Amino acid sequence: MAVAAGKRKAPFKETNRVIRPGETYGGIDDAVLTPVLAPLTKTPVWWWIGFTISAAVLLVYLVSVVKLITTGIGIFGNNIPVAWGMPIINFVWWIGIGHAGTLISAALLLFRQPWRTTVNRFAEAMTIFAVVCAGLYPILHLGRPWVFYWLVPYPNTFGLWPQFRSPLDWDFFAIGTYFTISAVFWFIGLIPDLATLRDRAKTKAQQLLYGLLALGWNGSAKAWQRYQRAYLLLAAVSFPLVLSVHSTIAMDFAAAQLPGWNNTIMPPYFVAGAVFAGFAMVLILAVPLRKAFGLEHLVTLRHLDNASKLMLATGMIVVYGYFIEIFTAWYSGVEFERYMIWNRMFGDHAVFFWALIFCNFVAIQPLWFRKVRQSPWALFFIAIIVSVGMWLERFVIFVVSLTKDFLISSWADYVSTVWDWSLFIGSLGLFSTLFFLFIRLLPSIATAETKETAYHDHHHGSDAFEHARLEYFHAEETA
Amino acid sequence: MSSLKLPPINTGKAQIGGLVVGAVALLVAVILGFAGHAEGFFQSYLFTYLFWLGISLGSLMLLFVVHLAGGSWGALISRPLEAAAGAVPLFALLFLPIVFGMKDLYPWTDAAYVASEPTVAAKTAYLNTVFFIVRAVVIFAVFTFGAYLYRRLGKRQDDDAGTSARTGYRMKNLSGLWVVVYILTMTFAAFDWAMSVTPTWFSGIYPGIIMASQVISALAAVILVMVNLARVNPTIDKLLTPKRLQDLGNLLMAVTMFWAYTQISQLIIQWSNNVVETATWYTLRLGPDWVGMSAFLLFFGFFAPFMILFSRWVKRTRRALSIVAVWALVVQCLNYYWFLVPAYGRSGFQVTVLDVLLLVGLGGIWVAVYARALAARNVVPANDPRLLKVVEHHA
Repeated sequence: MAVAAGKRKAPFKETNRVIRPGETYGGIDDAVLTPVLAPLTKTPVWWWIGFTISAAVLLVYLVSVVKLITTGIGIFGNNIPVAWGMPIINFVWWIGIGHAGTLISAALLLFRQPWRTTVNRFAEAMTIFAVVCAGLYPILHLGRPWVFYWLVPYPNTFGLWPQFRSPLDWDFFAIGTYFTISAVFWFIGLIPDLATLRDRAKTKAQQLLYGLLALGWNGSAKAWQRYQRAYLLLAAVSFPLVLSVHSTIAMDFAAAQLPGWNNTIMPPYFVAGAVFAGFAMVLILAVPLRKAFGLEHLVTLRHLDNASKLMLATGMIVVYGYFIEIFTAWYSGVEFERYMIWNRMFGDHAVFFWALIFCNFVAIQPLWFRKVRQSPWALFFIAIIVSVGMWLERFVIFVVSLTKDFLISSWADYVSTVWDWSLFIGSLGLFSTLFFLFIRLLPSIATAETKETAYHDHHHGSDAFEHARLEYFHAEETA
Repeated sequence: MSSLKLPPINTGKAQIGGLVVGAVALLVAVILGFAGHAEGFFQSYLFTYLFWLGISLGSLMLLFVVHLAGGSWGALISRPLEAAAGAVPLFALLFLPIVFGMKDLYPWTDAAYVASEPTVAAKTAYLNTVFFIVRAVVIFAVFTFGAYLYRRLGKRQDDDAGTSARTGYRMKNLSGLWVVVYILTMTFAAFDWAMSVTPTWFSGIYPGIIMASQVISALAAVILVMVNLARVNPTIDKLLTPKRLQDLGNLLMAVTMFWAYTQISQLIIQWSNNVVETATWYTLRLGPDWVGMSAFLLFFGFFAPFMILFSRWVKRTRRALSIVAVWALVVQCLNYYWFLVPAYGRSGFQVTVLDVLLLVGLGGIWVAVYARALAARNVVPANDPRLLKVVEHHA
């Protein structure tokens, strides 16, 4: 509760509001846009420190990529039978993180959830950067990344077509669509804010940059009407992507016969896992961000509370997935299935399985309690544990299943290499560099939408149900 | 704010009609079944029973969801959902014929069959008559308790305006736990009652399909009930605004999509796995006898309602949405048929007299119990601030 201290009176009441009561349009603009338009010399020290570290880690990524291209994919620990090692784990880990952004921006918009407005912008940015980090993995691990466009089905002189029955080819379409739609959705949402930045610009350069990006936005009723329509349409297009992208990725595995991969629960369970990991990342970013920019009146405890509820819900679906995997493996009566699950729980790599149960099941149970859901730093640590847990989950599913399949003669262990790790850690640098640039150059909160919320608060107050809720909390407090 | 007490809904006709029709149809079915062959009786009984029970259990799940995430549309339908869940105890009794018919329904009860199938022999610790019955008792005890608990809390909410908000929050908080309980319990129910009809077959997502199917049926049923209540009661007429109806329509569309998504995931995975334990389930259903019905379910069970529900007009128009809801119920009934009946060696889709009699018989009883429960209470929450606000606003 450290963040809340001194700034607010009663944290309980605070969480029941999407933004602090009495916000003005100008106040919102000041809070969000001033740091963006500040001159270079006024950039806070914490930003320089964070950006420098990120850029240094990004260098690790670039070195690893150069090594990978010049030497080949032999630098990875992948072997036979573990032909899919850390690159695919990291790919799935990254793409999963993106899903919370899409869910917040599209699904919550369609379900008319007002609390999305102050978190959607940076969550969408998180999605795009995570998809960038993810998308580079399959390309890099093709062996000859420069011919990645062979995945595109275009008429060519070789008479060569991709294998449409292969989920790997579906991946290409899934990620391509996902990136395109997310980027367009994000940019369309930014336009009114870019126009505000243009109008508030203090230098010619800023005016030119944001003016160009604002695409001549004039704030007329016609412009707003078209903007709203485009935004809703894009939301409707993005919504199925929450389900389809990670389902396709689940099929990469489930379409194979390998025990541990072939469970029919995989698509929805992967989707839930993706959203779970995504909300963990949203919390990891939101908790320090609201503190650093002093945005606690806009990204309130209610946002953290709701995000952690969704994290708990999707986490419990993931746990249900583990249960179904174990139970179906036993219920199948097939010895390979049963051995797979035994090996997972008690075999050579059992420690990873139990660590993942701790991270994804035990560690999220405190989220049932409101006190925990409203303690930003507790959420921050739980979210980090969950991120580690979701990485371990992919390790257990992909690698541990592959090490021991049907034939004992083909069993082999898997050892990751230094390059596996440098590429992964480097990709964290790529993500955080992009994110630091984003929070410096663009507004991390959608001010136009937040103003709508402020307008609604001014004119309607909180709704009757909110009052009932407050009464209830009050009754509980006094009891 | 005053309470929203409505005059009791008169469901006498539905109660008596349902009971008479149901009892007569069941009686005729029993006579015909045992005069002819009992096997056919139990097979028709299983899928019709699961269909009607599914509406009640789906209502229970939907009730939890409504408490956790529903807006004012959720408050509006919560009493009818509680009433529908009230049929669970009676259906626990109606499970007895399934116990008596186990020999005809579940091949794993046959020792010779088990001996010939090593993968079935490997799981007799789970699939055996005694444990099956014990599980059924536990499953029904859990669901009966859930239905009873929410019905009682709902009554308390209506009776005591002072603590209504508190009770509402208690229901909301409990719902989180109950969703977990429902999903776990229903998972075992789906493995036991439906999946084990083909004992060699297994699919992790199958309980999810059944749960989605239950929620679709429950939603379709509650849409029909609300539309009909709005015809006889002016307050409900006022509360059932086009926007709330659209919310229900949107939810129906979303669950229908999820249902199709789970089915298609299962198909793609088992088809591309192409192993004998699982793919045979589909080789039967995509074989010459059943491919027609499979295609029908795909096009008219999913694509047709999905496309129709895109229309805003349909979702906001009572009559149009009712037609879609009736169709959704028909599709879900056919879905149970398609899940279970092919396993019993019927050659292609054909409706027997017993199918019809048992569908009508169990349905009549279900309707009678439901109508009685609905009439016994206020049909909308009496003290929900969101609904009160609307009514006062109009008055």
